[in-house]
Amino acid sequence: MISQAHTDVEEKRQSLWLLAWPPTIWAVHFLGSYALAAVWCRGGSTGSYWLGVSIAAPALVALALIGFAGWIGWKKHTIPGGKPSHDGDNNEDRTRFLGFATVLLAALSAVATIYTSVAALISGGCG
Amino acid sequence: MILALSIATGCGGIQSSLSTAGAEAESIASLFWMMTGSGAVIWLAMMGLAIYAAQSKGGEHRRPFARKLIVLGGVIPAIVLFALLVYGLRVLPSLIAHAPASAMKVTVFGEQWWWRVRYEAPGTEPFELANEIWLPEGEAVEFILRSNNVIHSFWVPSLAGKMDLIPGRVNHLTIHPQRSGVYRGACAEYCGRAHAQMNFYVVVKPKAEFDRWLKAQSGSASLAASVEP
Amino acid sequence: MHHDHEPLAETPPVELQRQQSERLQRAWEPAKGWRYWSEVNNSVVGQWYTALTIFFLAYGGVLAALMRIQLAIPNNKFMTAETYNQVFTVHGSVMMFLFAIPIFEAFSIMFLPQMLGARDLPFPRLSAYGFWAFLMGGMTLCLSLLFNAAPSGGWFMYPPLTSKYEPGIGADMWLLGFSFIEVAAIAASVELIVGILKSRPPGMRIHLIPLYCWYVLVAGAMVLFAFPPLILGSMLLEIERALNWPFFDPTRGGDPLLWQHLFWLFGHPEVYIIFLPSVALVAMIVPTFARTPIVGYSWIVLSAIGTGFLSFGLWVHHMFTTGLPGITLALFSAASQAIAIPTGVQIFCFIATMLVGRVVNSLPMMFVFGALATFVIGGLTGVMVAVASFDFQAHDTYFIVAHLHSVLIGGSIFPFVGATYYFYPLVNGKKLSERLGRIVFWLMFIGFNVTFMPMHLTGLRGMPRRVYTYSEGLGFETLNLISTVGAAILVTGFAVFFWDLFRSKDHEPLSERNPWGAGTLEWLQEMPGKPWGVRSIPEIDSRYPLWDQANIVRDVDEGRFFMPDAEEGKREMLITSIIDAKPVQCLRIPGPSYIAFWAALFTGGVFIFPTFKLYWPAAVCAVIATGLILRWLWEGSAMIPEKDHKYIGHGVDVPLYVSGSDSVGWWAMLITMLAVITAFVSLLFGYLFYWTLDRNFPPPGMPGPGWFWPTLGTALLLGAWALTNLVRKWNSQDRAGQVYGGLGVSCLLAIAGGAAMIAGPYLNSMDPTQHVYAATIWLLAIWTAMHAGLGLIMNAYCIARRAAGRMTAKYDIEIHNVGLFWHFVAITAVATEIVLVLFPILK
Repeated sequence: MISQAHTDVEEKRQSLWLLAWPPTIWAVHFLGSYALAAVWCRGGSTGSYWLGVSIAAPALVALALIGFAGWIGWKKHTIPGGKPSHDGDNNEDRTRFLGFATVLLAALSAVATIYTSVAALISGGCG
Repeated sequence: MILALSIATGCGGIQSSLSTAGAEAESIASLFWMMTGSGAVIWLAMMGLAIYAAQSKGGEHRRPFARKLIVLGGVIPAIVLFALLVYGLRVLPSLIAHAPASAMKVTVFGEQWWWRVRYEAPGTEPFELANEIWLPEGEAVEFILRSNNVIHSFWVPSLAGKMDLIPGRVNHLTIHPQRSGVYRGACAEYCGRAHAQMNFYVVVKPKAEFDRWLKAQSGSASLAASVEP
Repeated sequence: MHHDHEPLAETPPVELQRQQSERLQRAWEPAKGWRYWSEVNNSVVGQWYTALTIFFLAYGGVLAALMRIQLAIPNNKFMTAETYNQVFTVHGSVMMFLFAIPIFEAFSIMFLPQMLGARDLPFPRLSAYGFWAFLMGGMTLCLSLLFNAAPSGGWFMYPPLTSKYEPGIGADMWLLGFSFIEVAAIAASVELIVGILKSRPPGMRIHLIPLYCWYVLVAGAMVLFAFPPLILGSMLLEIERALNWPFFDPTRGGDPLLWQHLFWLFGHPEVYIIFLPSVALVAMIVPTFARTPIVGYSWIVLSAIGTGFLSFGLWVHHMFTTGLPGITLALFSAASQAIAIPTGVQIFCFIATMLVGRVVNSLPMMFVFGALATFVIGGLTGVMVAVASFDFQAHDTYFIVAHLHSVLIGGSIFPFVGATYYFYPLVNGKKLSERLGRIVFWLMFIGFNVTFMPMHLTGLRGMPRRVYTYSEGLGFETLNLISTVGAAILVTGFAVFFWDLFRSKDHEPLSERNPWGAGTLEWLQEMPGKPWGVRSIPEIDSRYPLWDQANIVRDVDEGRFFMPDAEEGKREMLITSIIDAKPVQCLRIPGPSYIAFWAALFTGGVFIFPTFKLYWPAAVCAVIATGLILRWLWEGSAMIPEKDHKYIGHGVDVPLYVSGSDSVGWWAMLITMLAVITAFVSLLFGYLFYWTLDRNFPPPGMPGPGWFWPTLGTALLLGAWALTNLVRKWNSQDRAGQVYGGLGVSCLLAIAGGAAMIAGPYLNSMDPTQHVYAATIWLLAIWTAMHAGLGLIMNAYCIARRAAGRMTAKYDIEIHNVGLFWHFVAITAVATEIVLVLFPILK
């Protein structure tokens, strides 16, 4: 069908790894923030507002990447047709499910990344 | 019924974080009551929802509403938790800040299984106490916490939260006592056989009385006996 | 377009059906007599595993009862401090390591294949090995208490208490015994991940798999990344105890806090590894009794995966009072609160399902409600302690004891007990007593609340954890007495439950088939079940095949689907593709074999002898264990089949032998190496951690490994890696001379590379007892050298297989898997080089 030409539903082109991208991006940002805080606060330095900013700024990059992964998921999710529960035994519903799960994980990962950044901005100190 | 019975035993005591006598403990206790109240409401709401759902006759027509419920179940907690995060973090700096540079410093060494307390106020002879700390009412005090054996944790619930004594590290804890009295502290990190007996007393006195005590103590630089309340 | 296979339109001749059943029965019949204990089939091993786990639950429960008796009144003399300290340590350790984790492994081994319409798991001997390892390690630890030799450092064993202040073998037993069990847990994960991804029935696409499988997939993956930091940390602590290397000794550059990081990097995901498979049981029970498919399937997948990832970002919340920077507290508070979102979402999915469905009053649902009520309290107190400010008061008090038991009993025990009532008919075809079950529920629910709800107050009123007694006049007496009364009620509930579970059911009637009217494949089972699992492997069209696919039970029973026979008399299962479950291989799996037992016994020796400082016997056991594992592989894996393909029905021929990334063995190697590399990364984390402590790390003036030997070692090992992967290509081109030559040279390179790595610290006289820098460098060098050693053994094995004609150009599983292993050796060697040589230069 021509309308599906944009979103490939062949099994070979699907991957479970897509689901893992948004939370992995959250994890990389989170661990990077933790490492940065650990190094910045070494040896009793007092830290500053800039520490919080150095965490919040890369968060924007992370959010963009999460958004991109979510957009890919959204395209898969919105293949026309199908039931909302995506439980039909066909390629399209399987792809819709993978897409929807990716969108949900992207939303959660975005929220978690925002939490991280806001926490860093409020508590920028090594104190 | 269990709740009522438990609460009937009260919240007070000289080792109770709910019977506060210090600024830090006060701040945390307010946070606690707010969270407990909200938590109780949330629990009742969720259980109510679950019981309603189990009793309902159901039907496919409920499916769209059920889906909306799931979305709300993600969105509402995200908002509430965010608000709590911001609120809780605003409370944090005052709890972990150092006392002003002019504040009195008391060094506490965790031993197995007792507390060695060392006063080194400027202009006086340093002296040590065992399992006993005296503090002036209304002033910030900076505790310096060290151990050269195992990890302990310094905890006077009525006055403040706890802080660990970790070999190789120097930790600090700021306490603002607000009410005179005698309070009991405990070791809050398992440290071996007699961990349960590693308790101490904190005596808070009005400033003038405390100053007199301090001068008297620094005159005799030896370990004082433990004080019974 | 994907073609779905329909079952045979006509019923096969009765005589054919009978012959097929007989052949299946002969192939799958459990061994009898003494040989029964050599069985590896998942149904049998699963029962042993579950029974043993329940024994440990009871053991841990008895210890808890003893603790509550001691705490009933102030200044009680029922137990001394020394005894109590061992008892609380063993209680926590047994419950966390010998019950809460193994129970999900045991349940999964028993029921996962049935949920997937599979006849077994892909590596049966591995499951058996895991069970015997679990038995040995667990019993050693439990018996230690009877000899006053149990660990007494608390279940999280913080140094320096456990490094310098615990003489005696208790701590060593914990460190070594549990490391052994953790290795078995990783083996179970390999089994379950590969089983879920690759052994599903045809047509069970990834979006149709039972929710239990999603949860266990996530939990299994979490084990791979959570257990290795603890295994590494335990190794460091044991080496400090036995050899005086100062990893946690601040006077020589170490830090007790490193242990806390490594432990909680394990410990926090651990509790979600416990919770997810348990809530998975709820996800299977609720749709059955709500009589409707789950609402929010994708949301639950979100919950499982989201929780799995986020749980790795929480660990520092166990260290809020250690004096870490404010920003660190803030980051981990943020993540600790964020995880409540996916945790809550799945609960709303269950509520939504009940809303759409029409809930039938039933015993398992009572336990679901009990679980919900209890777990939500635990979740709310969890959010409270996630707020670092509040945790300053609550940490290490009875408030935490209340919280952790709420989430564990609500999130794990109640679902487990409910699931036992639910799944029991699948075990022996009978039901447990409904009447007793209701008594059990009320005793447990009331007992739990009376015991643990007061503890919230007890903790806030000032009672710390892990105290063997308390003084009068502080307000603890009444609360503790109430808790002890509650414990008595809870224990009674368990006693009734165990009695119902283990009493003889000979006079009970058989249960009807699919007694609860559920929709998922495990309920295809006849009562009592047949040893071959499913009579034929069905084509799946829906998440609830028993509800949606007409006549599926008849079609499976009459052999109208795939693989209704065992023509060659062998145990066979179907391997399918990951996303769409298309058949890709007919996998032959082994029958009863003692080798798993012997290999586990001697592996156990490697861990248990050093507890008693008997190092030579341990080394001998290591050699024997290696030999046994090689024999295990030689005799029973990568067997060349008598024919290339096998017909499995419905016009489908599949290969009997598959190599490379399609083969289950390759996936097992990949998954195991992910765990190993995680342990290595934890060691690198340790090195970087020491660097953040002290600006002068590596300490100036201290000898280092130099640049020459590590670089030479890395180069040699990279050579071995490249050559081994070239050999894989040469082997497929059947260039035998180059294969033997290449493997031979790579063996030499491996030896030389390993030696060069060791030469660095050795020839530069680095003394590992002098400073943690030296100790860390030595450990990195030894680690890399050991990888080289394993690579040597593997390459030699390939030479032998090729020479014996068991590996050929076409049948080449071995060299593929070994090539994969060498990828990880290459990564390890390069990382070691960067840390040993480049980092000090760049710093």
